[in-house]
Amino acid sequence: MRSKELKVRIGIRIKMRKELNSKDVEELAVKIESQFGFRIDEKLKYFVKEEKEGEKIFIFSGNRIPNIQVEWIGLHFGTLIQNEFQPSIDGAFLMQTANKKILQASKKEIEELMKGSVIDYSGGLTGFVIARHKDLACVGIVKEGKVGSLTPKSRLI
Amino acid sequence: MHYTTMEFNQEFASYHRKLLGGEFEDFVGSLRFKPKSAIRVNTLKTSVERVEKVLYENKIEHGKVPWCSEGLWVDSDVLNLVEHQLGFYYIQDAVSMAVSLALEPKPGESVLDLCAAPGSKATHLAALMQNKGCLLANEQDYRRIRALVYNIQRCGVSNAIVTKQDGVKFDQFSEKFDRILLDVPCSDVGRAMSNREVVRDWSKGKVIRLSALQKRLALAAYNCLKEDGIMVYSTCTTSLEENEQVVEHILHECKDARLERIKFNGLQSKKGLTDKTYDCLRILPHYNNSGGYFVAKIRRCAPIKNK
Repeated sequence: MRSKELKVRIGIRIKMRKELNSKDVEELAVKIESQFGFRIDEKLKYFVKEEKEGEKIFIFSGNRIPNIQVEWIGLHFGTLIQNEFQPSIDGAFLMQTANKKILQASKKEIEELMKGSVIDYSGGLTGFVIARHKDLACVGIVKEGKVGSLTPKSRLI
Repeated sequence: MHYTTMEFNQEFASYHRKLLGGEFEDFVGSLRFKPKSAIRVNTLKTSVERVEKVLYENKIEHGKVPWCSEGLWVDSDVLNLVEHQLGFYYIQDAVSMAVSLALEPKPGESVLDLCAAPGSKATHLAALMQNKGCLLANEQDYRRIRALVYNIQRCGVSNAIVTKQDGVKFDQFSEKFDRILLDVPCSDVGRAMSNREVVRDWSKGKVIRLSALQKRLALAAYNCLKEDGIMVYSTCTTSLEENEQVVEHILHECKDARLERIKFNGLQSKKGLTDKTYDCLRILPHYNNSGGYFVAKIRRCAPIKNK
């Protein structure tokens, strides 16, 4: 890692993928816990990369990183967008014990969100939510009585 | 798919008639049909029982692949089920599942998949490693990296690093990996059941060019193995030049290389075609109603110490 911009703090914009130090990981853990009631495993390594939509957070469970130019590392866990954490589909799958911002959905509703469709919603949740049906999980955003799909194009069914 | 005499590549036919002898007709006959579809359950996200329940609910006939405990034959399209996009299973040629199993990676080890896209074997390796250790998945072609990353993410793999390097120049990692999978670019004859262009475009000249590249990749990969490390060399093709001759090249150039026997219950195969490569697996498409593969398992032995 080679830039002067590597002194990373959550919320500070950076231009390349950088491993978070223990203080940053703690800050990320607090943010995700307050939003979703889920505590991340602080023993894993976390990386952040700035992209247009926000700061992408990656989890790496490997035990070493070779000294080589990397195209991708670990699993995209989610993205920090204007200080809110939006889990990725696979991040949501890892957050099985999350107990806040959980939308208990039917399998049909999960399928609709995975098709990119909007579903009706009358509960009190707002912002990013994890839609869950048993072990199936995906991600949506609640706005004006609807849940919008946040399924990326490449994952649509 | 139907190969008529007119469509058939005569150079391909005469090469394979000589190579396969009495098996030639069965081999060519098998190219008329699509291979049996199969999926591999992704144990990083779910269990075989859970996916069997999904298949049952969707009225999809299925059965166990004998040589892979996570493998299931399926009788219809499973691409558009929500469980597929959520990474519960990977649609994969059943015979290719044997390649990652032959490598036997363990949790915590350093593993290199040198030609990793689109990621069927890399995601299988990560599952066998239980997301522990380090899996370096390399792919030289930038367009194919997108497919590799998509599959790594979909399958919930968190111990992988993806790199874009020329595999031949991997010597910076001398003696760094416990296990290496080298599934090289090849003439793809084992996939001719699903892609008729493979037969149309086949030529001896192409095979010779690929063989030269495969030999270079094989020596570069072998150099990355730790002492007592294991390398699996595999192709999805039939030619002697891309299979037995590459393995013989490794054994000749690397004095500490030893071929190990591979055995899978229920997988029909035959031995390598030369004396030195007898312990390799040669799998033709008609053996298992699946793809054709060649698999060799090579150990880098510890140097013999003088007493």
